[in-house]
Amino acid sequence: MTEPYALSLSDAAAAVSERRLSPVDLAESTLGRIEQVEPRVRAWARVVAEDARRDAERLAAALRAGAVTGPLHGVPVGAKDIFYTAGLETSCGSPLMAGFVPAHDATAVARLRRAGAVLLGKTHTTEFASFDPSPARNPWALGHTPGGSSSGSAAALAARMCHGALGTQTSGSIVRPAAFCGIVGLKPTFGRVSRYGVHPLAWTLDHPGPMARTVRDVAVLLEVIAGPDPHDPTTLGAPPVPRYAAALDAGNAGPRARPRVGVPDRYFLDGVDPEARAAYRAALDGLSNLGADVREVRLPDLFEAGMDAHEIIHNVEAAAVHLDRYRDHTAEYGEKLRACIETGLMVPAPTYVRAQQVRTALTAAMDEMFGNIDVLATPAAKGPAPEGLASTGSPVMNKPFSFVGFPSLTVPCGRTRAGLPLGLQLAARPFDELTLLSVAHAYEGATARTPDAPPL
Amino acid sequence: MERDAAARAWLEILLRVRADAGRYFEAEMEATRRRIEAVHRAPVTHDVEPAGAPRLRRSDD
Repeated sequence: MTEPYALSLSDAAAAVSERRLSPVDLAESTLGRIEQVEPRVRAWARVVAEDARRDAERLAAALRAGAVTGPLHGVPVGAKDIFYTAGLETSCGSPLMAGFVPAHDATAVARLRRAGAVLLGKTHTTEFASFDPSPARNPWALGHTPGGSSSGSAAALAARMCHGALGTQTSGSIVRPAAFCGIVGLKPTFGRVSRYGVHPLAWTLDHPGPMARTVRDVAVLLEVIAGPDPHDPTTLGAPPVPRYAAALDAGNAGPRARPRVGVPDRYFLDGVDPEARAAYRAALDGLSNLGADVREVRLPDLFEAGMDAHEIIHNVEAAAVHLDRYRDHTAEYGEKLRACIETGLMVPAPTYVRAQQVRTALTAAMDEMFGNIDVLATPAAKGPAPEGLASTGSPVMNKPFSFVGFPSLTVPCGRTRAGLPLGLQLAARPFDELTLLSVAHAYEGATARTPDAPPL
Repeated sequence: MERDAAARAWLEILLRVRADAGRYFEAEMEATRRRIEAVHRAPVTHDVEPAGAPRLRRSDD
């Protein structure tokens, strides 16, 4: 019998709501798993076991009284340690934030709680969600990075220490760690999920999003955390949130019987290692076998300039976020974030504006390109998780979609001979997460119904 | 670079950031210089609105 901690989020939620599993037993099983493997994986900045037990008991009592709080009733989750949590330390992977206890929850955290989730604690992030690594390790190979910056969320999910988690992506910080750890991560459209209560790295590039072990699990989480929030004006113009999971269950989520899958003509195979390249080709064949119309598409001429503009905007905004603190605490910043801040300070203001113009132009050109396809398929990373813990790997495959704000996700597409996971990245037009989820769900269903677990 | 030194001096005066900012990050500075050039070479005209304009709504909505 499957241990409760190993259940997918959807299966755990169903077992609880159908009274086959108590929220208390689920929480105890998952906390027991943390006790067992966390000393090796180091995914958590802090675990709040007593709070989690108290919440689980409250939810168990509610269930006995006939009340199901929401779609996550009793489901244990984690939140990256840049999401504010009321009364719970949020240290953003930096000694500068040690002891900071927010007075309120981030909107995404509040929505998880409102849906009945049990927050087990805060997962490790790289320093301020940038590139200086956290202590987290890759559960598939403890000497390899789990990726970043949502390092702990990805590692905790792969190691079965929670059933769902929150991450954020400014360049590649959801999709890359999810791919390296063999799970599913979705970066929503900019404006789909509120940034309120998330410590910024670069305001116009930051995307909070869900991470889990299956596509359906991610759909459930997205449905819970998405939607307008008066605290984040970028969410107010978004279309209504679809019922993602129900649409997947009904099998009518796709835009058409034969989705058009674009294969980019350049950029996304530069420097990709042979095993990842072979897995990507096999994934395209898999999509084709599922009935997809796989066709090459030409990326816009401005694409490469857009990637330069991304770095300019990223570093300038990071410098603006940190300037006041940085003056007096330079030595307490990690080297990689220091480099971001200091180069950001040196960029002339007209260059920043120009970079935002390039962004407008590339966004329009990408939108036009998506007129001929439903999803774009690429490798999720240049290869498997690199060996060593000093670097979290490269976000080059993921940052194009952070830059234009289009939704993207990764779904596992095999493992290397050494046993490390590889991911297939899919992207879609703005606010079309449903198409993304539908294609990924079909692919996942044809390749691996039961997600692999690392040999811990 | 001479020009970097001048820029750093401005940083120190205007933003009160230490004058040695950047001296450890020559490779990153060089990459940033290349990116600045690339962004200015990109064919966008003044008709192109920069991303990030205000998102307004009526307060009585």
